[in-house]
Amino acid sequence: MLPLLLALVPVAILQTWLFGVRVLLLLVAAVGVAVVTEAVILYFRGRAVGPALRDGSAAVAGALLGLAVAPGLALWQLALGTIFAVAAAKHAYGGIGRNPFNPAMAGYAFLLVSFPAELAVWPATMDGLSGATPLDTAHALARGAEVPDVTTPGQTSRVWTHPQSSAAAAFAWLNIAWLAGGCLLVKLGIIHWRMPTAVLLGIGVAAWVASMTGGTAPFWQHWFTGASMAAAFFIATDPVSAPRSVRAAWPFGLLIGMVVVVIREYGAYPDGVAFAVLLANCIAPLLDRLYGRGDRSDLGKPGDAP
Amino acid sequence: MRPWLQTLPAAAFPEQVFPPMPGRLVYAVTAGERADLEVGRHYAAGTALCAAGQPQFLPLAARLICVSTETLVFAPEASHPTGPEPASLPVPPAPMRVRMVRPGIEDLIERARTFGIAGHGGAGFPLWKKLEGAQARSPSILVVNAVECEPGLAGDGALLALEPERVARGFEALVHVYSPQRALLAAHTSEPARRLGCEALVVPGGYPAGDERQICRQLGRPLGYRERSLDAGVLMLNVGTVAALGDALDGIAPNRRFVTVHGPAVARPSVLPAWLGTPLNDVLEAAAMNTALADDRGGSLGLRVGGLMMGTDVAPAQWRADEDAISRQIGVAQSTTGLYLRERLDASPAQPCINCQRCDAVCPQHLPVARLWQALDRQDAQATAPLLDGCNQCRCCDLVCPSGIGLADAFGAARLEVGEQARAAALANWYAGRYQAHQRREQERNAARERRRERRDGSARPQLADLLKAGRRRRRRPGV
Repeated sequence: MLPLLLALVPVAILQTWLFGVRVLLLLVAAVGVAVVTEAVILYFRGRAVGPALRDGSAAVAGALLGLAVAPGLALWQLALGTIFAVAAAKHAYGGIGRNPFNPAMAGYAFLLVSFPAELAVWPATMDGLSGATPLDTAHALARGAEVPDVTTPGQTSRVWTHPQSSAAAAFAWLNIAWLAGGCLLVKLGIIHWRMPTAVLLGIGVAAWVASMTGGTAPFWQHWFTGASMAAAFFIATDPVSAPRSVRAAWPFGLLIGMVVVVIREYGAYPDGVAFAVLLANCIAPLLDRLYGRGDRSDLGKPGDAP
Repeated sequence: MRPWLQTLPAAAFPEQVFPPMPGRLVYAVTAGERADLEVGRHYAAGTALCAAGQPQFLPLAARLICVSTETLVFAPEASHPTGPEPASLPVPPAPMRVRMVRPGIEDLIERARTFGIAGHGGAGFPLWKKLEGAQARSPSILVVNAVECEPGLAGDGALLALEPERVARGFEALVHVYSPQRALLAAHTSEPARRLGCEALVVPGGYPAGDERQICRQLGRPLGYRERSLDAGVLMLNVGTVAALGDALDGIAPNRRFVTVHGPAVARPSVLPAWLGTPLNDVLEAAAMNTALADDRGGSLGLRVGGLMMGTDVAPAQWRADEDAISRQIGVAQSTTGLYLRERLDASPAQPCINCQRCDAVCPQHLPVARLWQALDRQDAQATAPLLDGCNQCRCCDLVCPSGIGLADAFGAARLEVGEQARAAALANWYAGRYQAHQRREQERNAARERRRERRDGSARPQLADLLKAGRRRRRRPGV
């Protein structure tokens, strides 16, 4: 799990630069609460605390959650979400290796339903831009709301090269940071490229269809907005809650990508990664039954990362 | 050849390699198989230690000092020094002293059986069984396996470098008897084969490249999960086994082998010749001269016998020098390829499988290891049975498992369990068949009796069941 934490470093640095030191505070708090919760629950379940903590899975879940939430979230709210993630999404099902849902996403979904307002507000960047994410803006636009134009005139030429020039650029840069971390994981052999590819393909296909039928954004923008790259490289690739056979990874990833876009374009929430992942987690066993044959044809080539 | 073998002083390997005389010789025997031996008596070199089963022979003249249910302990005698001259070589019992010039297949099998030659590669499979199987299947390829892919082992290389004539003797006999189309010496380099004057099979790559399945795959004859190399027409023998066979043809029972002593706690890794039966502690001390062993008062060192990957850990009482517990010690056996000494590892409890599938990626047999484990976790050993046969216990999966699960051992145990169930089912079937046959005979006998009675009386006698039925009908009527 150490390489996973390492891969989160670029994202953490960029987020801190964009949104302030509070990002780090939230990150550390989430990791701390996750590890303490894990230790306490392991103790009361009568399991060995040391080896289970050393594997770092609780820290990773906490870190993912800490980086996923908006920096405006109160600490107690984040703590509540983290405790839910570790206690209800992981240990209620029997601890590591047995959780059907991705703990970080379960915690995020919990926060999203409980405190939607706090999760939607991202602090203004240095140029005094809007607090809403580009997805919020797009979501509001789609519903006919009046949204002030966040980019000052004359700045359009440097929108994408300067992450602080607009919220869209900031999130695009964040997605590139997630992508960089994800590529590191693929390079290190921690994850296989097929799952991120499937997710991004799903996003691309669904976004293209949406843009054909009058969507709010060009289809390629969906890859670099919201939590697309995080979902593709860090969330969907969780081995425990993903399907176990190699072939089932494709429908699983495609489904996540498509549901993400459907929720973004037509749903009630600005981003749909958490719900898409939880939904796909639900049917992972079914996908295994449909696509996995349980024999060696299920496997990748020898030497492949999972 | 491993680096430390080259750095050893030449004096460590004299012209003919004879191990130092150990303080004790310890043999594992099965109760009831033991020959009639008396404590305190002197026995000549070459005395048979087992009456049946897998015979063992005393390599040195020695006095029997201790007999327990599992071990025989001998004290070798300095008054009968084993000199370098062939005359004092340990000799087997009289009838076997004849040197074989042109053995036939049966002679070879008989020699292997009476001398109790077991595989020297680590598994210790009886040679005669393998040769018998080869007799039935007439293999077209003979492979002498000196690959030694287990990390650190160098005994096969030492044997080929120092006693090639023993290998050549057995090799020639095998080629003569089975006349295979190809006879290969498999090793990491072609050098030993060139010196022996036979075809080389250069096996690249690390562990488990020397496994019989991997070598067969390299030969273009991949094995099915249930197949052994003989099923693919390949007779594969470890180079040590071939040397032992060569000795046996000269009338010498297997009496010594090369043991690699290595590991983090060994000061100087070395390859040592050792008499079969030498207590492991003697070998360690002779090899290591290390301070770690002497300083280890707290018993923090652990010993693995065999290769680093496939070997088995032994309890401290089985290898530590302790005069009182000498009968619990174990000695060098034919399958003792190496001794690996390190800090004892605390077995931390296994964590649940997180389905990371690293085991799938490293399995040389391309088994779906993670799914197999998950099936076993669900107590579903039957479903995995056909795949379990493919596991050759190389433990690559154990090495990469982040949860520390003992996968290979679990698969081995499950395979045994499935085999046990199959055997029980077969036995039950057999008894059911016997019972049915018995019933059928009974019916036939009754029918025959009935027919005879009919012929005699002219009318069928009322059966007991009919009488009972009639009685029941009569009794029931008033009540209804």
